[in-house]
Amino acid sequence: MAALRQQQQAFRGAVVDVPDTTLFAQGASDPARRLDIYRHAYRSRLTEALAANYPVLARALGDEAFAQLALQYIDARPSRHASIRWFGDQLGAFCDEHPDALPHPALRDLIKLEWAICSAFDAADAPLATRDDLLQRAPDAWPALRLEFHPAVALLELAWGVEPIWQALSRDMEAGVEREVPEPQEHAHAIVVWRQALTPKWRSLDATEARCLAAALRGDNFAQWCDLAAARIASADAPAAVVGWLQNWLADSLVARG
Amino acid sequence: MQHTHPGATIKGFGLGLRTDHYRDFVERKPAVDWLEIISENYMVPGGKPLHFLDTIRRDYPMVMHGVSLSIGSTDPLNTDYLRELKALIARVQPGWVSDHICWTGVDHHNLHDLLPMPYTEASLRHLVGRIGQVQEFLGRRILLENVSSYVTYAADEMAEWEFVAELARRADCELLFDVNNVYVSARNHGFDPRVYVDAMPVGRVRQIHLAGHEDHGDFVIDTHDHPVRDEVWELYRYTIARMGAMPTMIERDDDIPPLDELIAELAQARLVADAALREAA
Repeated sequence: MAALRQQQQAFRGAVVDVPDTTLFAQGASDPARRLDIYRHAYRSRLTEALAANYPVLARALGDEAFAQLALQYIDARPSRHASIRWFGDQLGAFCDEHPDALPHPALRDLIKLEWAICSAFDAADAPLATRDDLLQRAPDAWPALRLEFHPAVALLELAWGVEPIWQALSRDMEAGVEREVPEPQEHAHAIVVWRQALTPKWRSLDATEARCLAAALRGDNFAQWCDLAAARIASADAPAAVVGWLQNWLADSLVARG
Repeated sequence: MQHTHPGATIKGFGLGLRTDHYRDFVERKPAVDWLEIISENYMVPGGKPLHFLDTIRRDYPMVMHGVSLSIGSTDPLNTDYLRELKALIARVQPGWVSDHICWTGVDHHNLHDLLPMPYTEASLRHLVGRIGQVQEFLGRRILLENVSSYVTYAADEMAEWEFVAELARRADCELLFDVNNVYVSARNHGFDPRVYVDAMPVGRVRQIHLAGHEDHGDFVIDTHDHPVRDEVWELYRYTIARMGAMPTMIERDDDIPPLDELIAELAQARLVADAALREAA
């Protein structure tokens, strides 16, 4: 096994690093050209996998710049997963460490949004709570209400308004509408990502709703959401506002049956 | 140990289940004898892939084909992967489960490619032990597929076909015989593909793969993005004449055409196989 291990390490090195062909038989064919097939396939397969997980980023950057980013990422973060499905899980962390890898800081937020969408796509299934489930609660049980969320739900804090970019390079492009990609604006806000039936969805949130949803996601109860809301809007209006958001969360398939 | 053989119901001609064709299989239920799924595509927590898998499974027998077992790697077997694979097997109840005679990475760096083994006694011993562990864990025999390759090792001690035949015998596993891969490797390494076919232990081959490739003149790349080429049809005819009727599927992984085109190609496989069987009779 020691020899086999060395052979595999040498093969890996020849594909990933220096194209050394001493491992290979020098037959009728030129081993360097043949090795190139593996070297090319390695990078193109992973680039393609990365583009499948970040389709809007790939369009925003264009083929050449996306390929450059992919090559940097492939070399910096070799795949540790059995399935190629998860390749790119550290692209955000990589870009945090290497901000120069992206031509615009707003793209860091686009990466966050796309990974959440891609994770929502095949997140675990869970039965959903309905409005009727909640209406069955006694009035005095409401303050202690805590929610279980569907596994696809993710709340993201973004520094840039990337939604128009996503809209232009995703929905519009798929609908055949060509639009110039808008210049991103700085805009600190939150987005919630979830899955409705089989399709990932997202929407941006009002700052107070975002705080309440964050609280609900970490397990705080209804009374605590109301306190949070009351710190930001007129306290008499807080419970009604919170109930309104709760109805949206239910209608959007965010809440799982506990 | 006793291995079960739930694959008796898989006969005839199948296709790979691809996302492009989900709607066709759900809505039209076209006549295809069975479907092969890429196991990893469904080793996910939930959502659309598993929804369509379960829905389509109600109407079609299935077999499972993996690309990440990395049975030949010198890294330890990935037990998380094996547990997920076993859970998917329980869900799908496939006719059989296959992967490749290859390694995909080393030192926990996954190259996500089906890399060839050196054809040596040491490789055989390594593979036989690992196949035994996997078959024990899954409680069933697995099928392993010959891969296409572009290089051979200076250290090779035997021909690929000798290696594959000996592996199946010693490991007590079964084979998925990929006719296109044999053709591709034969062109790339300059051997007669019929010698390869002749060396296969017929009783251990359970399934055949056909696929398209890209011809670059002095070498050939296994791309799965073209229809099956004439040379491969001819080798398929030769294979069926020698092996007899064998469940056969066409793999198409890129430039995926409308389903009806693949069904027409499958009809051609049926014709070639029928002719080969008549010829052999």
